[in-house]
Amino acid sequence: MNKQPITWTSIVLPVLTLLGAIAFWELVVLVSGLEPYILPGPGVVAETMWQRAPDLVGYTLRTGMVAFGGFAIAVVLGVLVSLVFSQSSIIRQSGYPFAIFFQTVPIVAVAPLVIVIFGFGALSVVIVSAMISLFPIITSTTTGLITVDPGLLDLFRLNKATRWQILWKLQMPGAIRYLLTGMKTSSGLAVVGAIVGEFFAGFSSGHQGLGYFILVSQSQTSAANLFAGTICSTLLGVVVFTSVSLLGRFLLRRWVGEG
Amino acid sequence: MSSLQFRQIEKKFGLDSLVLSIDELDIESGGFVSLVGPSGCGKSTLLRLVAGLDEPTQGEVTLTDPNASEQAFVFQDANLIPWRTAKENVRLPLELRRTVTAEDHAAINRAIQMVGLRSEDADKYPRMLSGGMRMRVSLARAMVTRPNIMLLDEPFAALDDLLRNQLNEQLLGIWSTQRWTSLFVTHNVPEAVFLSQRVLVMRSHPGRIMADLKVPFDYPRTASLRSDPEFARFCAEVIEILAGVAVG
Repeated sequence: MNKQPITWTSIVLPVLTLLGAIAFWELVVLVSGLEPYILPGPGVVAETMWQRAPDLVGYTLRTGMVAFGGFAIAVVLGVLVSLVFSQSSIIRQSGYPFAIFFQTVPIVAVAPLVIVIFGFGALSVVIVSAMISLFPIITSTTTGLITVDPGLLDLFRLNKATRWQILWKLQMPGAIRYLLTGMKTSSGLAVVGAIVGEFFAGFSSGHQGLGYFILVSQSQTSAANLFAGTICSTLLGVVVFTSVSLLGRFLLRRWVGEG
Repeated sequence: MSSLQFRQIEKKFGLDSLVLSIDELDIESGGFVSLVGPSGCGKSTLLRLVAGLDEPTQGEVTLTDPNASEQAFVFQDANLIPWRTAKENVRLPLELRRTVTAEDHAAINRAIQMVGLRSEDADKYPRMLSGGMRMRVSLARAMVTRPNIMLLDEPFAALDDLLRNQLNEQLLGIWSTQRWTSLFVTHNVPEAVFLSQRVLVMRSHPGRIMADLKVPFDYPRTASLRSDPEFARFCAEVIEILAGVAVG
């Protein structure tokens, strides 16, 4: 895995960009003269976030939990499906095109159907989140399991390895790097799925996450709250993505001997 | 007594492309035989047929002593598993056969020692080792099962001359104690002559054995053999045959 060395420029330059963007935002607010309820400045948003911090933390944690639930289901189910795909090219040829096909189905279109079937509540949100994050796991892990170094496969065959030994000692460790790539993509999608799920199911179930907060803020035309919700969603995505990346680095170092 | 018999062997890839054709070949038990020839002459294919990694289209490779059928293969690339340490790589063939015992651990350590790998390097991952070290690990992995037949497919091709010579001498030292039957594929004529009792010169399209030369030097062979005028003369003879084969 290529690791970029951390230099002072790699920290200072993005911080400067962020400060520049905030300054530009403030400037646009000042020059345009738009009302704060339409386009609040960064100061107003920061103040809103500070005042509503306990609520926002709660919403973010609840969304984070359902996203994690959906993500965990996606990882377990995705790995199981990939293991089945890796065992037979006939099964793979039969099922793999659909894995790719389902990846293109817009989650916003499917979410209402999930709610009709599973009802309002956290379960539906978790399912929506799992559905959107499942397919990157399947495609990348399957690729990892079937991309085996032919030289190593020869070595295993020469030593009369069983199919199980080839899977356990060669294919699965070799696929970890691919699984982690899929997990990185999926982790961000799981957050998107959770918020989309909450748009449809979260508000009448008592499960109030960021999706609920964003919807309510929209109905109240509270732009500052909407900004706050967006920032919290983004931060949640960043935290989830970073956690998965760190976990990946740990696994590669501990198990795969890399990183 | 012969260890391997090839009779009327043919190997085709696809319907028409005959890559290897051997009418008759015997490899004596405990012998060291090298195969030299142009690229694509079927040297590696011959090794793969012996190992059972490929099936002959016609004929059969016979192991004349079924009690001496344990084979090991050293690939051109060290072919180490990147997520296993050197020692864990050496352990792999035993792991795939059975539950590794305390006795096996001793055999693993012995194999590591024999190829000249330091114990601190045994715990390193392949990416932390030099090309020469990786090849030593690969050799140790092949030796750990105590094979009767050792198949070596250009194992030292990627190494510099100095290291190659050093490993050649070490390989001969190990062979003289283990006395496995060796089939050694190489492009390097002095290497083939230095190591072997017999050098088989092959031609391509299709791969055939054109000359079977007995190497006239006694064992144990040391580095000084390479500066012997007789050695140079014999190498020149092999190279001449090889050049004729490549042109013809």
